[in-house]
Amino acid sequence: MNKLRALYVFYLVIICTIVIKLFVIQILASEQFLGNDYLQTLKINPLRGSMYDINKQPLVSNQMTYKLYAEPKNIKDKDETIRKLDGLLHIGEVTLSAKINSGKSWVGIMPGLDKKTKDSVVALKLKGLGFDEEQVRFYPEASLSAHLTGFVGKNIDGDNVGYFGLEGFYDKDLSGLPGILKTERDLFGNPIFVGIQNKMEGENGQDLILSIDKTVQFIAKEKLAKGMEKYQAKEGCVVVADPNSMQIIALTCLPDFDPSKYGESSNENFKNPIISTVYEPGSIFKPLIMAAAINENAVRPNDIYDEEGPTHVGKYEIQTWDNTYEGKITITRILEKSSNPGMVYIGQKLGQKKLLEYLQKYGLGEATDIDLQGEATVKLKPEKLWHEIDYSTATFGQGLVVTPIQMIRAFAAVINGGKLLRPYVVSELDGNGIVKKKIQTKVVRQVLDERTSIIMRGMLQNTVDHAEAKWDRPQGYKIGGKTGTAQVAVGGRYDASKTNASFIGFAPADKPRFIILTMFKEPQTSQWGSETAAPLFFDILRELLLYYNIAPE
Amino acid sequence: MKKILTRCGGAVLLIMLLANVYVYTKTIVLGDKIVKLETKINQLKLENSEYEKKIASFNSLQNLNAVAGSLGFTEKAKPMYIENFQYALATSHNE
Repeated sequence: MNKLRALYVFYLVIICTIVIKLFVIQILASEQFLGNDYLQTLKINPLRGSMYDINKQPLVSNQMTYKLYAEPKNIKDKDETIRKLDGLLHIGEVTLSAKINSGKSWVGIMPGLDKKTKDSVVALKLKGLGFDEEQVRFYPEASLSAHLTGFVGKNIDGDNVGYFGLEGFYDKDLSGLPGILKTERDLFGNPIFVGIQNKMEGENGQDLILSIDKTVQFIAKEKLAKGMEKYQAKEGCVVVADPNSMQIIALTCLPDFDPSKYGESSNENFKNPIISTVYEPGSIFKPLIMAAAINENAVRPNDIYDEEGPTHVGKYEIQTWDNTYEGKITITRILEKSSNPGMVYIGQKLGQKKLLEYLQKYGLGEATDIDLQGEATVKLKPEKLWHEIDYSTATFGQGLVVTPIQMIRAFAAVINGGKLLRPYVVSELDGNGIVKKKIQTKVVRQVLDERTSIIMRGMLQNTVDHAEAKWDRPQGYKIGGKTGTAQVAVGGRYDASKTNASFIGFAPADKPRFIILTMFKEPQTSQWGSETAAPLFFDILRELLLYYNIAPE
Repeated sequence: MKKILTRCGGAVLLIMLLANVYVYTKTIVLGDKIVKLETKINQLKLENSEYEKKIASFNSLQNLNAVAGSLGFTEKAKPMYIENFQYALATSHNE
């Protein structure tokens, strides 16, 4: 009995001791024990949203890589570690030695290791090494859409940030929201169930479904690359769009960069020339002025113009590109032969006020609001700064500057029934496979009426049909378009040896499915758009007509 | 009566102690299982990510272009143009 009583008293004492200690910790000296060494607050990094083309094929996704780090104080045999690591990673024993012998408690050795390399390092069974997981971007098509996608870099705090293109424009949507996990864990990292276990779910970044077709993008880039080599151009661009919605189907420029190795490229290559570079468009601008004049009933397609010789505007003489003149020609013929004096006549018929009004209606001097980061805009100079020669040169696309995206958007308005549309690349934002937001076509304004658009499609088809250059055109299709060869201004004067050669065209002419802009900056083999940009246009168009199974008319 | 109460109290205390030890041990085992599951989930996510990457790489146009080339599919698709018939088609019918 006494032993039992003694045991009973013993247990009672222990329990009372525990209760008293708990009372002291939780009530009397609670402030001293406020810090919780077992509570871990972990950030749950969200997955960055991926990008898919119109057929849900991945253009940009994520992959896990590993950052190898070392804890030098835990490395027993430093020489062996350095030797074995260098044998695998080939980063130089001197570099490794500097890091491992630095006296730091933690040092990063090499980021971006794939799983295979990581497993190889683990197999070396070296102490004092560890791995941090890192989420990086993966581009299955390499640099196919570099200017479109942009790239993901780091900000000052070391966080992922999108730069340029879609990564920059949709950075917030792609980033998502991090979650927080507050968990009490024991010394071995096991959760303490009676402790705090709070989880605030984050949100993965939204996926972008683009209007881009990967195959068309591939075709455009392949043809552009061949064109760049053939014509020895400094730079080249291709844009393919649906003129009825201004959904961008393909957009590519060269030179470009590898978004997975953006650090190895020059900063200059990051800029997307289609949205960030301005240029004088030249003759591809003429249809816009022609359309404006027809819309205002200032001229009709069969009106007659007397192309007797160069036109004089003040002290300036405006000639045709080949200094030949055909006498009495129709308005349509002005466009066919790309007559500068003819266009000056059209501009005069339209009137200076109306010309300026239409330049604004076409969206010159304002952003297109395309959903790509880095769009540049140049304001139209105020009316009071316009001289007579400016009104004249504007009619044939010189003396004013546009971005290629402004140009293709305005041209699309000429052929799509007169609507100026907002161009866009992303058609949908998805989260976990559910559509969160659909991007709709936006009509900015009605520039021309339907009648004018029909007339212009016919005139532009005639321009291609009666072109002096003999192009290798796809047979059986009605194609409309316009060449452009704009001189480049250098130091305030035009350099005759430098041009921006371009072609803008559409097909089928009756009901356009595509509008394509091709451009070469300073081609060397020939400076003319008809001999460089136009063949590229027809090359791409031929492939697109087959790809989309568009039968000849 | 007092003895019975004391003995009952002692028994209850003992049972509760044993139960406490049992539950505590269970939570440790469960905690260990959770950590293992978390590691497994993480590993599976990484494996999924690897497979997605492999599939995307295999389906890439550059890879498909190279595979097509190695299999001899080098000729570009071309349309075949059917010539216009020069004669009207005659249909037979009973009048």
